[in-house]
Amino acid sequence: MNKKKFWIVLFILIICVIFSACLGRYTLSLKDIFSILVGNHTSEVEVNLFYNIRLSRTFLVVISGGALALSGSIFQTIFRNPLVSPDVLGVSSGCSVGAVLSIVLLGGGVIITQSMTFLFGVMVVLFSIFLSRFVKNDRILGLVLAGIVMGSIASSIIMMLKLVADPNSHLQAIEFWLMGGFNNATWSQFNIIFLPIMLITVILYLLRYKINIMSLGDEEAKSLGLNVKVVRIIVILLATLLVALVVSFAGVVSWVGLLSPHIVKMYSKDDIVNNFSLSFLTGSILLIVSDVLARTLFTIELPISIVTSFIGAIFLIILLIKNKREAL
Amino acid sequence: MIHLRKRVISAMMALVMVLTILTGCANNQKSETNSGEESIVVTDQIGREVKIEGEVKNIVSSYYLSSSLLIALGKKDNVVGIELKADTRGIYKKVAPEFLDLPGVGSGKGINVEQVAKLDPDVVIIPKKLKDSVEQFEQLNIPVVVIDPETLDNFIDFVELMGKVVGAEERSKALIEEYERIFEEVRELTKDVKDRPTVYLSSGSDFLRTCTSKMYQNELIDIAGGKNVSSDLQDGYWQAISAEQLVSWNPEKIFTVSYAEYANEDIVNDVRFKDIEAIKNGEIKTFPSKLLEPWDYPTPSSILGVLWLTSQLHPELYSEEDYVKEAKNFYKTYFNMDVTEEELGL
Repeated sequence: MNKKKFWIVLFILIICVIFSACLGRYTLSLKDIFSILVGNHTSEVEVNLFYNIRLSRTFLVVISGGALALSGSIFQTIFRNPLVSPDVLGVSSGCSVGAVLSIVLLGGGVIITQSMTFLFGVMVVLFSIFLSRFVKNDRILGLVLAGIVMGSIASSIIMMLKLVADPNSHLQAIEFWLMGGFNNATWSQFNIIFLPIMLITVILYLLRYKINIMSLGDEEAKSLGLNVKVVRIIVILLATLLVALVVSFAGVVSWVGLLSPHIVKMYSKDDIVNNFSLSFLTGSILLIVSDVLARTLFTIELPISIVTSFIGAIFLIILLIKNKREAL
Repeated sequence: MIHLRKRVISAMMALVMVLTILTGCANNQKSETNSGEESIVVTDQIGREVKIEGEVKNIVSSYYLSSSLLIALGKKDNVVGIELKADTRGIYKKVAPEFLDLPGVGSGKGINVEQVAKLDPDVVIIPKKLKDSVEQFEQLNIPVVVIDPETLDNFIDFVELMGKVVGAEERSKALIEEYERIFEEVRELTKDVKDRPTVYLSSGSDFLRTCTSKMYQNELIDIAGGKNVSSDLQDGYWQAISAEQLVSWNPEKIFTVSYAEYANEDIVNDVRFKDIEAIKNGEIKTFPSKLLEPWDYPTPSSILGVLWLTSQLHPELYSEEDYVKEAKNFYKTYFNMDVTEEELGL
């Protein structure tokens, strides 16, 4: 059954990708795009624009959306809570601290910012996991509490740095970074994150049965012979890496990780084992639609989180209303 | 122990007092004679009436634009407190190195009222962003003048106001006349220009952010005889655009601001921008002056930005030599300093 759904969702994604390749502030007709693809287009400007600006961005958005959504599904499964997002352990806040530090203190070069962002995101999550060990009886509760603590510390550091940032340059850069965006997408960035994201996705795919068992709760999982502690840490770290990779170049992209699993549940009530690829594809679709809106609606470029938060909130309300009806 | 600490503190306080008196004396000797003992009432830029009594000897300036203007008005020796991060301003290093040693009292986000009070100023200048602090200063009976020099008109009002406040009206009038004269001349030069090069001006934080028509920069490009590609953007200040949007605008000239966080070479080497007219022809430059102060928004020497841009866009109407002559003359008159061509953005 899920095979069929998979192909339908993949088909929708491909349609979205084509749309994304056709739409933009620079007008390219379908005919232009066809001749560009065939390779006999006359305008070099348009060829360059299509391949280096539009296509690189579209591909980046596709893998980013997928990575965020997958990470969200996994977090919600492991924490057995549908309101958990990948940020629960503070990865986005940690990434933000890294980025803001780099912007304010290190000049904000692309490579430095990306490395700092990634590093801080992972560090904060590691620290959250470490802190959670002090809550003895309930590991999940411990993780959530530690995440809240680390998130607060991170946001206080961010506020502090914003206070000393130069309002003419740094502060703007920080604000924009905190709202995310793909307007600096290039192929080289795609190359940097493509392999790691694919590698992690494959590992998580191989672990999908174990992740699913975790959703039964610690006791059951243990009785089924699973080393709960080890698997949980490994899976959480891998899912965190996915988010950190995306956030490191796109800034904070809110809602995609939280919402995508719910959208998947709308059309497939299966568990993570069967919904694995559907989650990824759904996230890609959600983000690609958001990104097309962000870059085409106005002459200016909207930060991506403005779009994803707006769409996300509306979607969630629809889901709630729908679920209520079903319950009745 | 406590006694010892008290003694140390009182000794330090005494030292501070002595130092304040000494520097106060030094200031007295250097400053020109002022408007005298009578008090004046000025209206600041948020419409408050401020009464300033007697001669203004000690000024605290918590905003870069007012500090820089005080140099041009010949009052740099009267400044006793200054905004934070003064060490990032090229013009201070060059003509007012003493500014770098002054106590920093605040930034655009907040001012330390106690620190200011300690300096015992005759007047405090704060930007509109800090207007919530006004009440605290009023309670301490420290005259506080709020300024808002963000647009050209406001900037002219600001220069006039500052001239009155610090008793340097002659110089402030001369500076305003200089501004008006140059604007008039350049407008006259470029008013009939048919062939207006398209210009893209990028922001400090990101190359893909640009000015809107609400900003001084847009007017600047217009007066200098160019066409700002982003003049259709009306809201907000520095707005983000997509790479695609820039390619479709295809500007003939690109200028990056002097306080940019990125290098022009990175833009030139970015494969996404290689087909843009300006990049193909190597027409990407930094808007001066990186070494002195930015001219792309109203600063005391920003009038030179109009001249520089005109000579860049229309060398046939206004030559580089004329520009250099005028700019050197300007800095000599108002800042009493010699400038190099590099400092003038050439």
